[in-house]
Amino acid sequence: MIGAQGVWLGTARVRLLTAAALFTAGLPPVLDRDLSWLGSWKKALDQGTFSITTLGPVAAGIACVVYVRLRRSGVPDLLSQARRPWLGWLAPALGVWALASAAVLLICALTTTAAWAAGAHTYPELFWVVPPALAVLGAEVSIGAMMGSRIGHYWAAPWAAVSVFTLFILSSVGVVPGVFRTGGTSGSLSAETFAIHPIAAQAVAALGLGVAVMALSHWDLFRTSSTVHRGMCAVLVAAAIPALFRLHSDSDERYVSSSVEYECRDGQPTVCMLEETTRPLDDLAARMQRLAGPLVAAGVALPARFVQKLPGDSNLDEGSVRLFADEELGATVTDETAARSLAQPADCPAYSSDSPEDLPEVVFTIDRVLTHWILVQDGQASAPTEGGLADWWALPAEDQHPWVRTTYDALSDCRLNALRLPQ
Amino acid sequence: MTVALSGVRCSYRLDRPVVTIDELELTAGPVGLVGVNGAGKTTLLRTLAGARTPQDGTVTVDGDDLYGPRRRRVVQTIGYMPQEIQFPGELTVTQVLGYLCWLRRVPSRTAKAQSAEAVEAVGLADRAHQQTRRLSGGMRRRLALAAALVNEPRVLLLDEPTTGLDPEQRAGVREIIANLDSRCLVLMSSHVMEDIASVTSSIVVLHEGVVRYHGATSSFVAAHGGPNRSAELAFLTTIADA
Repeated sequence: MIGAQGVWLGTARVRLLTAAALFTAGLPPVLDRDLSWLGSWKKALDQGTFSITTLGPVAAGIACVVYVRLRRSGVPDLLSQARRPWLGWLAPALGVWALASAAVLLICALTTTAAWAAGAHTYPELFWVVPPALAVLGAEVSIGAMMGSRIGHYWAAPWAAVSVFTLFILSSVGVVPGVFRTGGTSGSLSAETFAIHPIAAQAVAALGLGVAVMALSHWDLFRTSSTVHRGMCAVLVAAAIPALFRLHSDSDERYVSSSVEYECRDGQPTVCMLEETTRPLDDLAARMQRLAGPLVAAGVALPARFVQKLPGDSNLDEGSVRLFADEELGATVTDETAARSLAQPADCPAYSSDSPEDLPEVVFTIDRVLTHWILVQDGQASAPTEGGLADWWALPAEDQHPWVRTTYDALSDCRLNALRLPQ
Repeated sequence: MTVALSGVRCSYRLDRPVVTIDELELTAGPVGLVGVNGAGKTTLLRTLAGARTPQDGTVTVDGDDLYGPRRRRVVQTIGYMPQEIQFPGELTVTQVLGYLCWLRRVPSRTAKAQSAEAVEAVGLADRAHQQTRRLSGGMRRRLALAAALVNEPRVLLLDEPTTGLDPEQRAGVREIIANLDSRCLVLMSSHVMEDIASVTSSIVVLHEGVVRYHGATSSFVAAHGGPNRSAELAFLTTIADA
């Protein structure tokens, strides 16, 4: 006996092809230009659930086709005679949802495995975000099923897909509650994790919405279903209402700060990055330790550790690893990135101050000069021959050392008002 | 087995009832349901099948309200063969019946035997493992009949079971109906008066949603069928007088 959920989904071959099509439909949001999620397991997981952005509309279109087929068959009249009319009606939608869920799970498994293989630290306990995403997928499938059932024409399928994608867009921009938004963070999720309450609210809202939509898709069958089924559906719909309100408020932030763990590479200096994004750590540490040579030769006192900076944090005793988002997630960094980090030996409060008076403008110029000086000493860049500092750049290195020492000491002590450009 | 309708009113538009039946009681045995296109036969059959809630009135099966609290139990006693039904073409005959057994919650230990019996009853035993898309039109009608029989119903509702069949196939379906348990109430609609006259013991003539005649088929033909006792003429006379 063929599984009841699969009865309306075609032959085994068709079901396999459907699953393959759903998997393929979910890939475009995952295969972004540079696969940056390889650098963060959390982001890889988030990106896996983001596949629902395109996979969901396709699943809705497929559900629409299946329910057009079911409605046109005349079998719904037989469903009303069934002991389990509601389950009989739900079964094809559950079948589509199961195929789509398998595709999402496979994509999530692939992204997280790839991130793990690329060296990212894993957080398997965070897989709990996948079931809520699958609940969203269920709601999307139910919309397709309802459109197919109500409209009864195959041309409704593309409209079902477009409608679901539109709901995703509207959810993402906040026009409607964020029920249909899954994944897609632009950050690295380092020192962050998934927020339980908004995502749980999203799951409840999606389940309630899905159940309500399926009930509307064939109200007569729902009405004649068992009291237990109707009761369960009513509870889900009732729970969805406050969840929708919660998602519509400002408190629907899906990511929250998490405990911070670092991974370090010992050396001179020791370089530490957040545990989530250690993919470029080896390369960064090697470059920073090599580029530290000219600074040591100049007689500066390097901080013992350079640590990846967290927004809002300040630490006077440690240097800052300063990375842009793509560098944080990349496999390697550039010498300029390493030099830029070496040029900030302390994470002064002024750097994250809201008041412009706390941060003299000269700091930015000095940051660029010091970074460039390190690269010039390592032979990675040439000294400028033009501009206001051309004379200083032309001096022998030994003559530049006093300015480097003085400047580095001031930066280390956060005496930013004491900073001066080379004379 | 008795099916009784009381004050039943079915409509798709509030101002235009499709079926209006004050009182009608159907008892065990084959019953013919005749009427012109649009007379309300399919609506009535769907209402009796539990697939369409009437706007007003009650339908009882052996005293139990079909649309009452015991609906799910009552409906289990009814088998329904819709006028048009298209099972997924990729399923085999056995898979279709297995699916219906699942829907009707026939215990798995008996589902296989009941499916085999239904297939045997409609003469599709040699096609049990054939995909339904490969069945002829007549065989598909017989499969629909098997689907209605699979839960061993005590009320069997057949909507135009012989439509689209050739004379030999029609005779086959008539034979199946004639061989059904006599305790079973079989309500069969048809345009073909010959089928009705040869199979049924009583007849319901429906015209514009209203019952114009209900009684023994033989009396109906004798009273309205003219000197040649033509069932066709009896029907035409009845609806012309309405």
